[in-house]
Amino acid sequence: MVNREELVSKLEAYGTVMFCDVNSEQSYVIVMAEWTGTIDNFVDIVSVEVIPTYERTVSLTLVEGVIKSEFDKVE
Amino acid sequence: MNNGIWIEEWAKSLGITEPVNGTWIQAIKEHYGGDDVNGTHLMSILHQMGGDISNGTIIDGIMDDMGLSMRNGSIAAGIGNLGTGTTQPPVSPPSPPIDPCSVISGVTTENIGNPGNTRLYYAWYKLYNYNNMGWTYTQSEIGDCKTITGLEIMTKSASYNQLNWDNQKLYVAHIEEENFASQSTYFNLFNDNTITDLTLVWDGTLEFSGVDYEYMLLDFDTNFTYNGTDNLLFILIDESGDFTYSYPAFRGIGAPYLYTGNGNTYPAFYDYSDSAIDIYTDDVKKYNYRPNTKLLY
Repeated sequence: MVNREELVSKLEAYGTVMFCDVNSEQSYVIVMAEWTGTIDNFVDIVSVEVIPTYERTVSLTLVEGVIKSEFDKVE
Repeated sequence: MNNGIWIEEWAKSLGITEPVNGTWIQAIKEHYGGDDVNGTHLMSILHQMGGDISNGTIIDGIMDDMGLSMRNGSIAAGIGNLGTGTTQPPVSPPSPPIDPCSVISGVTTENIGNPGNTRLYYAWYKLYNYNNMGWTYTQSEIGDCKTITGLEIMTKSASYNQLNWDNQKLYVAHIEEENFASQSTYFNLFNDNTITDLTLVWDGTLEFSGVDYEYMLLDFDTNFTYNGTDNLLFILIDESGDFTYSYPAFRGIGAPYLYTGNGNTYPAFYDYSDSAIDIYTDDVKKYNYRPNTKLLY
């Protein structure tokens, strides 16, 4: 189970949370704008807060300060 | 039986209800589908039935072919069940050969792969403007030669997923490969020119109704004739140029459930980008799930 409140708190240290929630039950989507950190900063956060529940990184991009990412469960 | 109307009776025994150009013999000739031979309808009928002239007359040849003979000196009495008191079985015209590749009736097949397992997730990655997903079906799953007229994909949706995505394209091609366990396989498909018949079969809008476990029909604009020997590659390309944060998905089947004992065989791939995708050159990610589908043929 993802602790959304804690996750959002960590993400907001680097940018604006556009979307951070479960999508279609089996995947978790995070979209950030005005990201000031690196892609590694993001990976460090989701590795602790998201990956334990949604193990597989489906997509992850950082383009012009926008992070789009999706994680899903491996069955 | 009046011998004068035996041809009419013969025609009616074949299910013909009206004469052609005022003649029943022409109607029978057209029923068998042949052209006039030596200027006669009867010769045409004889040829279509595969018979020849025995005992010197066309009628004898036809009757021989039908397994009949004169009765009481009457042609009419000898033909099939037309004659008075005849015990001959009804005669059916020869059936035309069936082309196994032809469209038969638009029947929906059973699900491909493991239809029982629909709990899994096959994402439609609308987090990006452009998306590309592909998957294979093996010859053993598809079966014999057939003309495919459509595809149904099971959706995994919620009420808030009632969305339409336009500018979607579905391609089909014959391939030798079964999967993409080696990620370079996908590129080799195009770079080695092993795909020669990549066909745009459907171009339209994906309409997610928001109903879970529902099949979405993609009725092909161009039918695809499966050759009965190769595997098939399906590629669904999203060129909508739009994205959303919360979006529907397809229900899928994981590779370990598809091929018992084969583990992670990666029968699919996907790609995503906020700029346009070139399926011939761009990178793809191998994927262990296929959408839950039915073929229409």
